[in-house]
Amino acid sequence: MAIFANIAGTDTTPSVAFDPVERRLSLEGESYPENAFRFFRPIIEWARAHCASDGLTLDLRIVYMNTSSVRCVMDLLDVLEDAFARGRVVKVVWRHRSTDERARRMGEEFVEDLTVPSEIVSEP
Amino acid sequence: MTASLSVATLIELGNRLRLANIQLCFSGPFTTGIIQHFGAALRTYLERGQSNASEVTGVFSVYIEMAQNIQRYTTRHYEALASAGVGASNGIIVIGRNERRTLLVAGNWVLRPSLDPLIARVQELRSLDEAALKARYKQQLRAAPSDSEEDGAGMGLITIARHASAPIECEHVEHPQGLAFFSLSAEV
Repeated sequence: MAIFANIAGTDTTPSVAFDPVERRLSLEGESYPENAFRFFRPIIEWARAHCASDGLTLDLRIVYMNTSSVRCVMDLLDVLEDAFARGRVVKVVWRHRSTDERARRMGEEFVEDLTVPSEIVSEP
Repeated sequence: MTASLSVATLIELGNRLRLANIQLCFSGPFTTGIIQHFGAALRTYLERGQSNASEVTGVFSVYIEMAQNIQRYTTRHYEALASAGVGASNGIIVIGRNERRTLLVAGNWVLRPSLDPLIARVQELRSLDEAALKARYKQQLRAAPSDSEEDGAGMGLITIARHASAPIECEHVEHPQGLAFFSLSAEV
């Protein structure tokens, strides 16, 4: 299993944590760094290495993402799509505040073109 | 040049902002730190007001895309803007409210050759309905690789148009030195 060093969140980047028991990678917070690719690239590379031999649940609780972060998260979802096509157990969970209609729609758009099983969770 | 501002001018400036229903305003260099901290202030302001979570997300999204568009543009064209004598990384964003909606207006100096393509892009987005904007968004997302920063502005404009409750608008004033001041407004 590829080791993942958890990343603390900042004002412009989400916290990223991996639970090896649950095989769950959780991103939480806001994402609008000046260079989203620089932030996401190691995460995407880790996910690719991990999914070569194991399953993964991607758990997203992101309040706001700028467009370059959206692109990077789509790259991350592509890694899960590939893994799913190769028979790995993968899943995407998108969490949003129940009153945030826009965040819910954003999540729905993310998952609507996926074949990977997904879940939209409305939280208080 | 020394900065100077009489108390009368300061009062007039305050009155003008108040009469235009402008609640928050930033004018100056669009650096990463400033964009982030003004954004945090905007979010706090909206959350203390009557905005619901969805409106806060909408206004915040439009603000970040407008601010990062200015940052990207002024960074890319810094030399040319600086040699034309305008504050090279400067721009302005004002945020106003009426009873129902929040209005965001952003402005910055652009080089004359950038103006027509910008206007054309805004005009094109104005002609698209919600479904067409979504289709365009998805198509553009897939069109450029995530490591290219070049098309950031194009995606940003689409995102602004998608969050806006009415078609986005732009205006400009031309300046003799091969420049134009471009402004973009969106209502959320």
